Amino acid sequence: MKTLASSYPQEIRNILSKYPPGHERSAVMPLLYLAQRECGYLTPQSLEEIAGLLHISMTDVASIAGFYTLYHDRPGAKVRLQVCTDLPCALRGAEQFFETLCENLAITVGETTPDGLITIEKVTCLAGCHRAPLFQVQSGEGIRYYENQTVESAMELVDQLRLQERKANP
Amino acid sequence: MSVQITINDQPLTVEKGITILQAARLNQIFIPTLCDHPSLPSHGSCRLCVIEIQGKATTPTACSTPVEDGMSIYTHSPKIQALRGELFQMLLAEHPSCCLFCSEKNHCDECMVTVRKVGVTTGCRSCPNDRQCEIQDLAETINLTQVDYPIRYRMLKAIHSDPFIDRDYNLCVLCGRCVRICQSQHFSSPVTFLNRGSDIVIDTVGGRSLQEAGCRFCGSCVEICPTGALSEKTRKWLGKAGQQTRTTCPFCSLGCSMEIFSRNDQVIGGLPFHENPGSGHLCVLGRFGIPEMIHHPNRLTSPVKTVGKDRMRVSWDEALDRTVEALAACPPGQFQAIVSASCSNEDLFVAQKFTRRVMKSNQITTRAGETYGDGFKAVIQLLGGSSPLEELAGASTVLCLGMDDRYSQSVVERDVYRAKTDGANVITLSPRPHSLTDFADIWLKPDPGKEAEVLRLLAQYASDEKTRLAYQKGNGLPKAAYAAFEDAAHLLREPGRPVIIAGTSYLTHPDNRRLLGAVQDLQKSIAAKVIALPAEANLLGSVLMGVYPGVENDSSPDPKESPELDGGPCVTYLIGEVVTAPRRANEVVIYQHFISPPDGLEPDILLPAAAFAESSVTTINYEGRVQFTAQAVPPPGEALPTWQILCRIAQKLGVSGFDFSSPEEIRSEIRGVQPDFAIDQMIDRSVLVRRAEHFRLTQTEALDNLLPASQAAPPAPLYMGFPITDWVEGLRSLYPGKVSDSSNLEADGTVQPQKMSIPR
Amino acid sequence: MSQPPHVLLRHRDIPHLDQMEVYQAHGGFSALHKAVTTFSPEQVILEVKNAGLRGRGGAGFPTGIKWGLLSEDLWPHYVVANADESEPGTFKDREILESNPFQFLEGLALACYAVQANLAYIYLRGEVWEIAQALDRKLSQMKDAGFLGDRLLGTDFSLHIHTHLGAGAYICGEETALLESLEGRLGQPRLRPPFPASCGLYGKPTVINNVETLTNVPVIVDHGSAWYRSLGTARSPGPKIFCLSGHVNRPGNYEVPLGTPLRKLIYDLGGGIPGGRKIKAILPAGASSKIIAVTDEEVLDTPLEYESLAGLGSGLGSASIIVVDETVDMDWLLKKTVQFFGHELCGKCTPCRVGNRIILDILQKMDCGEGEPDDMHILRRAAETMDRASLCGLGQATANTVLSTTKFFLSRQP
Repeated sequence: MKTLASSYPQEIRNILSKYPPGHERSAVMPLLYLAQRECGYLTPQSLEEIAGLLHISMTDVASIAGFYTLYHDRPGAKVRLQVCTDLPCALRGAEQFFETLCENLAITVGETTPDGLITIEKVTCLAGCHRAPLFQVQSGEGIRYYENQTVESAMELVDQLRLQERKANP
Repeated sequence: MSVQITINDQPLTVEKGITILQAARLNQIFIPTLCDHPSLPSHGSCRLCVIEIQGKATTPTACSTPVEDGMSIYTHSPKIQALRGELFQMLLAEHPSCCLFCSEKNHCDECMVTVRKVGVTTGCRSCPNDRQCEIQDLAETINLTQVDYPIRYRMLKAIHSDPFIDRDYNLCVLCGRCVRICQSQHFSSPVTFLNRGSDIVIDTVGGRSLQEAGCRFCGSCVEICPTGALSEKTRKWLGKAGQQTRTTCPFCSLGCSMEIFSRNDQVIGGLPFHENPGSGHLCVLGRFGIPEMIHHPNRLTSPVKTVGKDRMRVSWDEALDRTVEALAACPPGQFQAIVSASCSNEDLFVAQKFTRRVMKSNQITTRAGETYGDGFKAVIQLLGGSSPLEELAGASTVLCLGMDDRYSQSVVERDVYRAKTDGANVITLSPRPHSLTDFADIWLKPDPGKEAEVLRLLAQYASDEKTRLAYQKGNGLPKAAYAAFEDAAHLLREPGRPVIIAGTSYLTHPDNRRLLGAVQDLQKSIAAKVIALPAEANLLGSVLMGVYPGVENDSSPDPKESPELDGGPCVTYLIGEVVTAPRRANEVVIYQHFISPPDGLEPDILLPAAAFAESSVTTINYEGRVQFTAQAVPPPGEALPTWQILCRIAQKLGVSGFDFSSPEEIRSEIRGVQPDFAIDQMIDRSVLVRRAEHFRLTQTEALDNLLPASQAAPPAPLYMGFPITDWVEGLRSLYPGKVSDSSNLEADGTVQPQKMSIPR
Repeated sequence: MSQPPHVLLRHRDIPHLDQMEVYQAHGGFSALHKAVTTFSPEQVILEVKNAGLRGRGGAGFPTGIKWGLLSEDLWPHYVVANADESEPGTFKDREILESNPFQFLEGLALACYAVQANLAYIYLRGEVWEIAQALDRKLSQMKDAGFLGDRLLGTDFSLHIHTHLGAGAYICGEETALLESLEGRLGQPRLRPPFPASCGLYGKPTVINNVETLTNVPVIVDHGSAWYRSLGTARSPGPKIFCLSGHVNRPGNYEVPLGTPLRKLIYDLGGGIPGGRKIKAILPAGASSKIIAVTDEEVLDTPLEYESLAGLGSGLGSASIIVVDETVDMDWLLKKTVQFFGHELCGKCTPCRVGNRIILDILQKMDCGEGEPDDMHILRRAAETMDRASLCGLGQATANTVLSTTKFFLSRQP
């Protein structure tokens, strides 16, 4: 596996330059996102590398990664489908939406589809309560919102993602 | 500036800006706390120190609220007591508490019969921390009778796979003291907070062992843990200590202040001595190694003679008679004594007096000569002008040489790390990765064997203002290290307070004479303080007491060169040392030590000596301070202090001047010759430097014997001739490598030929 | 019905306001220009003080006073924009950042000028990834146009602003937890004192302001404090965005003056309850609310402002109005809210960490039909302890919901 420093030298420099000298530690969060780009989760090697880049210990980096919901220390699918089922969304049918979506995908919360493409997760409020049901899709590249969803529109998206995946990796 | 406050209607004048908790403590007013500790800044997570302030509806914590003029504080109002009770109940809803509420708890000792031979009552009080637990203490003050909240037991597996420390996080109350104390002392804490929310735990990352996670095993976390979550393996079930004896750690020249904990004449543990909370520190050797050494099954507890291939216990009278017989038959000048440079001043003084006055010989030495080779004089010269570790506190730049053992002497790493967090730049010079390379600002990597050359270059460039180092093949520095070199030279050039640390492995380096010469050059050119850390606990003491041939010692009546040993010694007297060199046909070997000799050493007479903590004596530490080592337990069986054994022999031989009845009398006599010799006082080290002029230096080993650059593990430290891994099981995973074979002497006097099996 | 022009959600009146040329064409950056070239920093603070602007993140602390508290003895100063909007039922900052970003950025720049900070960060919740990327582009545009960078608009004042993404932790919306996170540590709240005004980011004096709060600042500087005070109420001046969600026909953001009656927001603007069902309760401050039971019509006449809601035993908070109708099982609602806080609490302090678990255990027990007579009493005791002794507002927020909901609603009353 290539190192972050060899894959993204300019990005790393840009990130570090955002923070005042002597406070490089602030860069740990953006670097963790960078490290997640390749495989959608954080490998032990990437944690060690970030520790080395910032002159902090790997234990500290791992502790930070474990604290935040959007960092993953275990492999998941290429795409994480994260549905909000908090109170305001639930009042607008998000829980039923989630259950039905799971049935359609034939998996339950935290599981990955057999083709390894999609993991379905529950998350807390996405600040989209007025457009519920909604979900966000997290992949190595970033996060995108899908609001005002129905089970049909969600499954359409899943089909699209599957098609894209087949094209990219025949 | 001060302010006027009242606590529980008691008027007080306190310093402005301190917290209510500090104000209460200064005035002996008790406020319960758990996550707070004098060595750490306020954390505010347990919330037990809630208080009421008149005129305010809120109930803030005392640890986080600064005093203000006119504040009226109530620490035990009904509202606060109720709130504190609720908070304590919440804590106990996640920590086993049956021992706190049982109606039989006062009679438990009387009722409970246990079949295990342990020092604590077991049964439901199954926590090793019983009677030493801050939760129990809190329960006394918070008057709780039950926990109403639903209980949760975390069902975590207790971790027993680390050396020295057992971890049971089911008992953890998440006060975070362990993580916080470690982070305040070390670059990397091996444990941290994992996850978030109600499932937050403290543990290593990824299930790593403590060793894999970089633990130094200083044991600060175990000491500071308020519950039984962290406990010492060997001490766990031995109960509360009966005695605490303030003493000095015996294992190296640092001479760290410590306390020995004992119970019924058994040493059960050691802790750093804190003059100020948090100021004390021990490395793994002193912190965890002492009980296993003192109570090792191989302790010599009675005199032994060797007859043919058998060893037999004998009485002291017989042993002394045999010894006297051998010594009386020994021609003058055919006697040699080899003593350990870790022996006490009293033992060493009497040993050299014995050699010179009784045996009329000057052939007494330690093995330091071999260890330091032709650099021995340079080592003593360096020690003659070296500085204490306290110099690190205000250092601007610290240059570390040879500090590649992450376990022994880890106190130094802690002080270097603290200096760094206070703003010092840390440079480390070593061809190998080691504990400091984690956090040093600059790691200078010379080619192996070229440390002296690179140091000389540093000395030159640090004073010379040259900013460009021209590439020169063979100057000891690979091209990749040039930038680091220039940065280092630049740092050393800057005006400030540079400090150089010459660690153990540099002092004993095969090339040490040149290395230390380079250190002296560098020291002069940048006016640095040097801290030197020899391994031997009493190296300076050995020079001061004169246990070297040819060293002038004013106490001996006829100081003169003894004739060369012609054809080898007739009697070799080993005191606290191990030598396995081949013997002459008629050579008699007397072995005086606290533990059985290893395989390969077959002494004729074995005399059992008292070990550390079994007599009250002194040593001189790396900075030249005389330190007291107190007796905590009596010597086992028939063992006697070394000085006492030598006195008895001398008396049997009819020589006067050996009727000391206590170590204090020996110290008196030493003072007669060295007037500045007194406990806690610094000696005049120029005396040592003068003495060193007379050292006969031995040739150094060839540089071919250097450890390869890739080897990460330094060898296990030695103490009195043995690697400490021989006695302390937990150290074997920290120092992987060969373990010397120690023969097993059975109680009935026969030799047990099997080697000790070493569980991995 | 005609609506006065928006002051904060101006993009609803002016299309494409998120484009720089459009923003500038409609008076954009005139406040920044005016302040940096003609006002002193103290004058800007005074104007904002006089305007009576209060923090819109939920605490309602007067903004001008907050800026004035920064220690003059310690430098540099920092400003951090809190864009970690994570309170359930809140989505106003998102709309500003997506559709009227320059007004927010201008407000942030003005705050920096007022407290003489040369470096500012926008801490965004990690989920709004795309918004953060767009903001980076907008900051670039501002720099190219001379509104950011060294020596702004020909003056001595320099300013650099960077975005910083969080990674899914509601607790990082708490000021000091945000600072910890921004410094690269666990997002656990600090002990206070010291407060950020004297010891904030990297130990230096720092102002932390909500996105909506900062979006108010350009209009104050442009139009003056007297004009600003003509909006809203005497005690809570200025415009306010209310987030309406839950059981309403038209959920969304509504910019109406503080003091607008609840009835108007829910029934006029929000279109009332779907299916004409009866309203049961309101959570006016998102999940952190002291729930308001709509037991009679009078409640609906309550003006939406800080003081009136406090008078009802509740609070406006971030003005995230969640409407709950008669079909909702309040046991379920309580459990949902407590689970939310259980997922988001940081775990540092005992009452919040253990209290939340205790409450969930009891609710679970009651769910399974194994409830005991004392359970509700113990549950409320746990909540009260959380309220009185938690390290930060999250524990108190949990207590708010638990105590108010159990007081008014639960089927198993003591």
